[in-house]
Amino acid sequence: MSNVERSRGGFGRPARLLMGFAFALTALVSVGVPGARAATWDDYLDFAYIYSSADAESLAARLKGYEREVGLPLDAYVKRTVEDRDAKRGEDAAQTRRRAIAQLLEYLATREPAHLENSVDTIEAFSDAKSRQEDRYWFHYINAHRALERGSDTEFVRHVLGLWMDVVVPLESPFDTLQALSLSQTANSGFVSALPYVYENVARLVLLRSQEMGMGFGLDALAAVVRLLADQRVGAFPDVIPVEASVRDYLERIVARLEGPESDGGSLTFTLVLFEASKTHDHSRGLLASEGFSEASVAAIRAAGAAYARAADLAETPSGEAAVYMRILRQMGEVHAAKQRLGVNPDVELPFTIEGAYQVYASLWDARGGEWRELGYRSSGEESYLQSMRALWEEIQESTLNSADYYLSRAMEDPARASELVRNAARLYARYLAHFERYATPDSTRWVPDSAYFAAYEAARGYGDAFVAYGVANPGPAEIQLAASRYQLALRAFPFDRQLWPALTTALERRGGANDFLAITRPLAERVATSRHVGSWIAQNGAGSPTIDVYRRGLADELVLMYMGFADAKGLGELEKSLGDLKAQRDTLAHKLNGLAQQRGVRGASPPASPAGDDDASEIAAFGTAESQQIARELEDGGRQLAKLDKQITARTRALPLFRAIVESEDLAPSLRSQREHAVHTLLRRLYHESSARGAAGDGSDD
Amino acid sequence: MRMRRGKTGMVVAASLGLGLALAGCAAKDGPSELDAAQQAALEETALNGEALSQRRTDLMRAWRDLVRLDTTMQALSDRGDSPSIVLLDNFIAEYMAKHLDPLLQPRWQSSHPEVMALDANLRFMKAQLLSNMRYPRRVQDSIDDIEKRFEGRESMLVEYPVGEQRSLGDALELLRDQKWNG
Repeated sequence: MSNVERSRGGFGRPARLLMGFAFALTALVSVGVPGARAATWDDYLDFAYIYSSADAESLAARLKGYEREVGLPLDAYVKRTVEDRDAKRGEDAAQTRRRAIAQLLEYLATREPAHLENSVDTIEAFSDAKSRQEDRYWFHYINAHRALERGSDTEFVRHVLGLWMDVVVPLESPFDTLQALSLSQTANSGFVSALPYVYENVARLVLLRSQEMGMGFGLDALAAVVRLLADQRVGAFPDVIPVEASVRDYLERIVARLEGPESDGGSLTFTLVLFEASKTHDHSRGLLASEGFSEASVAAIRAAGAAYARAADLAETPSGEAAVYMRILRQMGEVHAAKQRLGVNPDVELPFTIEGAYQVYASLWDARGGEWRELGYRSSGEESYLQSMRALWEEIQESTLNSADYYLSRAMEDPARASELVRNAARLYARYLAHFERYATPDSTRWVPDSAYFAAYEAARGYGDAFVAYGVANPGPAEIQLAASRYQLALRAFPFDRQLWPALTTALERRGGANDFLAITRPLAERVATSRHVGSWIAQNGAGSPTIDVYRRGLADELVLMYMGFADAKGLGELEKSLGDLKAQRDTLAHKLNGLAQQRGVRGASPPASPAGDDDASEIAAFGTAESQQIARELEDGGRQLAKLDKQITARTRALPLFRAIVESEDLAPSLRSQREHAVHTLLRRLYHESSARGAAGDGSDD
Repeated sequence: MRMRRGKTGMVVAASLGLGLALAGCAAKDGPSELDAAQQAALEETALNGEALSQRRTDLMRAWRDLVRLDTTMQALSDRGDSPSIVLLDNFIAEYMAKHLDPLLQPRWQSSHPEVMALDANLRFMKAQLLSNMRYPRRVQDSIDDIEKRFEGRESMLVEYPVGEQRSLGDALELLRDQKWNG
């Protein structure tokens, strides 16, 4: 197999299938040969367009097989044709072509450039544009290989375009005619019948061979040929070349990238280089998963980084830059996640920073007025532009969160560097939050993904936790103050995290402001409780409705809010027990007051508000006596106390089940974290901006 | 394979020869140089049957190919990639001279009900490509040719620009505006 196919494995199967298909050549050759004479090299070379695109290893094996059948090595055949020509002082054009093909096959099987040079010298006989199409095909095909060997992009493009002009264009109409008559694959149809193979070979030459030979520049004019090949040509003749043996799928992927949001203004060179880099990335990802940070993995990661760097160098438009950053950010995130998971810290530097991605996003955002067409999206269109922005944002957020998480985990393991590592994480979080606050405006639906809001919650909470919860950073007052503010932002972005509310309390306590909890959180809670979007979501039984409904009802109650901030969920049982105690206390007091009311009562002169009692004269105090007045005071005090207890019991009876329901509700965060397309992301976005609209309106009215 | 020689072989040879001749690519040195009588005979044959079907296929394929060449040329222009523009420009010029112009040459196909719309679409696509390549004089030649061939049929629907349908008269107006703005 070729280097590319061996190392990346992407095209091994189609190549093998094509080669397998070429096995049928023996039968084809014998059919085409009158009588029963043995096959000759001439026969096999006349059909070389069928198998010449196979990888070196398969081709070498096939040639060995033909040698056995013919009984003559290929190099001996070449030598003999030269001797014959010299002896006869000339030869048929067909013989010259066959020798050139034989020399090309020797090159393709061995990758020895001298064979290619010989082939070029031989095929030069057909440099005249008026030569037969078959001869012109081999002339351009052989010279295109030499251009690749020499690294000459211009020559390569010229020969591919020349091949198209001299061979493909004139053959297409006759091929259609023959095909309409089911004669396109008969022996008499000549080179016309080779057209499906010509398509296939040109596609492989441009898409695969050029990259195998490191042609990472100057191919853009061939985007036209690639588009033509993808238009009902490659893979369109399954009776000649089975679809699974063709490069159609690969070609379609390349064209999709060429014309989609990941294009660099339609540059074929960029698309091919980025595609190759992605394959290198896939390879490194596989190694990382199976071997961890082995020597081979680290080398592969560096190779992928370098390949992405080459793609980035080629990118001339923000569209192309965004496409590269999306992938490199994913790789950075994967490396950080693997370091965290495996607990190791190998030296793997990638030649990119997240900051570069922020800058690309900013330049895309600046063009939202219509200038985006100039940024590489003219042909792919506005939806590609918007899709690109949202995808880049998602990669930025994931990479930021993964990297920051890695620093925090390192901080826990390395107390000596904890302070520095925590602040590294905090910087990453702060950068994302600044980006979020800059661009996630109410009208940003088209260029900011819904998942950005949950990511803002994660970053804000991460920032707060870095200084408050982890306890390893020795934060200053300003950092504590900022941590408290971040917690507030986190609550606004995602109020359905029960742990976040007491985290805010802790931060407020650290700055000596625990009493501010209610004042700070009440507006946040009210926004959830009165949200039109939340109400509608629950009414329609949207995703996560049970949890969201529980929070909405709970946050409408101030006592529940206090429980959220100050109660420990583990002490819920004790809280419920205290309610029982309160009820018992109330019963005791009520009983006592009943007794007092009976003592105080006088026949027919009971105060209207006194409890009804029996008429036991021994326990009835005379009205107006000192004893009576004492009882009246006790009744009055007791009545007030009873009312207070009733109020407490009523409130707690209402609030504690709500708090318990919140504690026991499903945690939405894990599924939101793992699913960027989770429906609740949309609700969070609406809620965030509904809140700000209400807040703004409220601020206005207060003023 | 030999057994196929006979009647079938003659049909193939005739169809193939006709196809090649109409496509202007039978000879290696460009368009066929048929005299008027031969041309008339061929046109008569081309007005029906397999040859007409093949003509439709050729016109449709040429139109799709021009769309893709235009897309690529626009991308190269946007990127200011001069070396690639030169390479593709030369290719397109040769493609037009050797293949497209001979394909568009017969007068009958501009009035034949089964292919005239394809013929008109292809002419507009060619003009659009020339406009984007900044050849205003050649665009004007195309405009003149369309006006002459489709005189009195300005209400006929054509696809121009790609993906939009409008009357031939409106399309010509648009093309005139585009001539200097490619």
